[in-house]
Amino acid sequence: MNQSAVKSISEPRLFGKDLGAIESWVVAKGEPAFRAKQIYEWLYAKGVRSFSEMSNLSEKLRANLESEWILGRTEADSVSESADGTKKYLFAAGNKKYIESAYIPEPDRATLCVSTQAGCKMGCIFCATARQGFQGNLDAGQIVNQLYSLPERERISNIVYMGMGEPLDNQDGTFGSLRILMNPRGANMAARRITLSTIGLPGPLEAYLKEFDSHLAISIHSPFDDERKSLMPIQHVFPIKDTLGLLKGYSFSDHHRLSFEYIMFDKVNDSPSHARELARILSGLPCRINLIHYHSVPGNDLQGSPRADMEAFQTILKDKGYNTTIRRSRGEDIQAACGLLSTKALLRNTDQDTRDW
Amino acid sequence: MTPCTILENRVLGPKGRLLRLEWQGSFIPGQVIGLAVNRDATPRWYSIASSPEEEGLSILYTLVEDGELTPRLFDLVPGSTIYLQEPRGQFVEQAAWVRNPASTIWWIANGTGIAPFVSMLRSGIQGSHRLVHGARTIEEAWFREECQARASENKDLFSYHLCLSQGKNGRGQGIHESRLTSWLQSEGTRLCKAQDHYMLCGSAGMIVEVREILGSIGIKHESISSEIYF
Repeated sequence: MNQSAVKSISEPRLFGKDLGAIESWVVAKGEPAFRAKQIYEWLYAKGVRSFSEMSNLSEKLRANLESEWILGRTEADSVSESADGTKKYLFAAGNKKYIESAYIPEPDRATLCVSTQAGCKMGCIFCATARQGFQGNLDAGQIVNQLYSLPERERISNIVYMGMGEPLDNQDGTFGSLRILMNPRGANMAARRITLSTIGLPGPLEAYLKEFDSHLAISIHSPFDDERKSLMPIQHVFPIKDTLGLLKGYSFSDHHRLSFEYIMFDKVNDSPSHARELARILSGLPCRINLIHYHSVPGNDLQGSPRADMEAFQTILKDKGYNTTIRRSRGEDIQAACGLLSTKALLRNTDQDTRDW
Repeated sequence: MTPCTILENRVLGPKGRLLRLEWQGSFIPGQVIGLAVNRDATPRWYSIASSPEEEGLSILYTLVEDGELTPRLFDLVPGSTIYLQEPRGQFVEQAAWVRNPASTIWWIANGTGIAPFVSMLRSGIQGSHRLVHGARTIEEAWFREECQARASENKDLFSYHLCLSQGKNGRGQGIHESRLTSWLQSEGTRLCKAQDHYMLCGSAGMIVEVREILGSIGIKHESISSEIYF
């Protein structure tokens, strides 16, 4: 664990605070409110690593910042590199929590896959993150830190919220990070460069759609209620048909895209009738469908569908007018591919004695 | 969100309460309701712990000291108003699960996850059921006496296993001084059958571990229904 992470456990971190919070602090220190915008830009537009670099602030203000905050950016603890160029970064997230993010380069772009929680509560049976249970939410700073600490940061063209955790189960952190990323005084990323992926929690989903124009990906994985329940416990409380009903009240386009993620499990959800039913329930929604090869994780009886079955599935959907892609699997050799991020091995079972199971 | 009057906020233990609300409506045992202390707040979801025949509607909760809602629930007294979102959810028993008389429905829960199974039990069960409840201590073994009584009255239809992860004074009918997962691995799995159906309710960590234990003895994922508290 690096020293800045150790310090961050006990001292408040400025990195991740929004303009309002910074302004409240600045004004309480007797400084004019516009100083907050300057600090905000230093943090997020210029990406400084120390208060001393904030050269248009007075020495007194910098001294106050130094005494009351740590800046709060942290470097990755380690990195693994795949044969295909994908890199997986491991970050300490305070209080013995760890998260991973994945840098996925292509010839014409590069995507960063960020995590929003340490672990996950949703318990989807096919996901490695689910196997470690839930350790805590990341705050906005810890989410955007995954971008700011990236050595390849200047290459990043897209960010996907598809890492560890359910982003909409951490509304504060996720929304706070999106605001920083899309703020012209912040990271100044275009909304069309950001995709949030979710299993569909109605209240936070509506809030996301109302505030942000970034893309939306829904993890569907089966068009049939009972089957989806066996794969994704959330289906018991928030069935996919409720999510689809909600989405029909919004408009989507190429600039504000809706897509559905569909992991394909051999002899489970990959039949022609699944494809037809998927097409039927998505009818009326302008959307894309991403078919994803399943990467096996221990603890369940699922296997990935053969490529030929995935292509047949794709053909049915395309014939019904859906733009359907088979996602290329990246980083599988370093456990960075879809559904494989996990820091379970790093968890120390310090809470064994307090568990009720 | 509908305003409801609180009828009772009964103390069950140091951090456990049973909140009973005045509400008239229908629900299916196993469903959840949303609760909030003001109309515009995002509701938190709780399994219903009572049967549709009872007066009012009850939920079981424990204090989460840095939680958003439970510290405020703790302070509510009879006559207070709380806001409720209608029952929803599909974590309910299917008739098909008990068509085979040789099959058993397992109810596996930790902590307050026992709530939906109490609702189902009180509503009347058909076919063989086995309840396995994980708690830290006997004081947190919610509904223990009720479950023990039912198991004693209906030996053929209902069995009850309480697994205490920390308790050392709980020896008694159906009480095991071991973790739920330890008991399941060492003894429970010998009782599992491929034709049984398994309903799991509680924390993500418990559900993931129990699913893996069941999977390791060949139980298919389609035979397992899970309700995770989040």
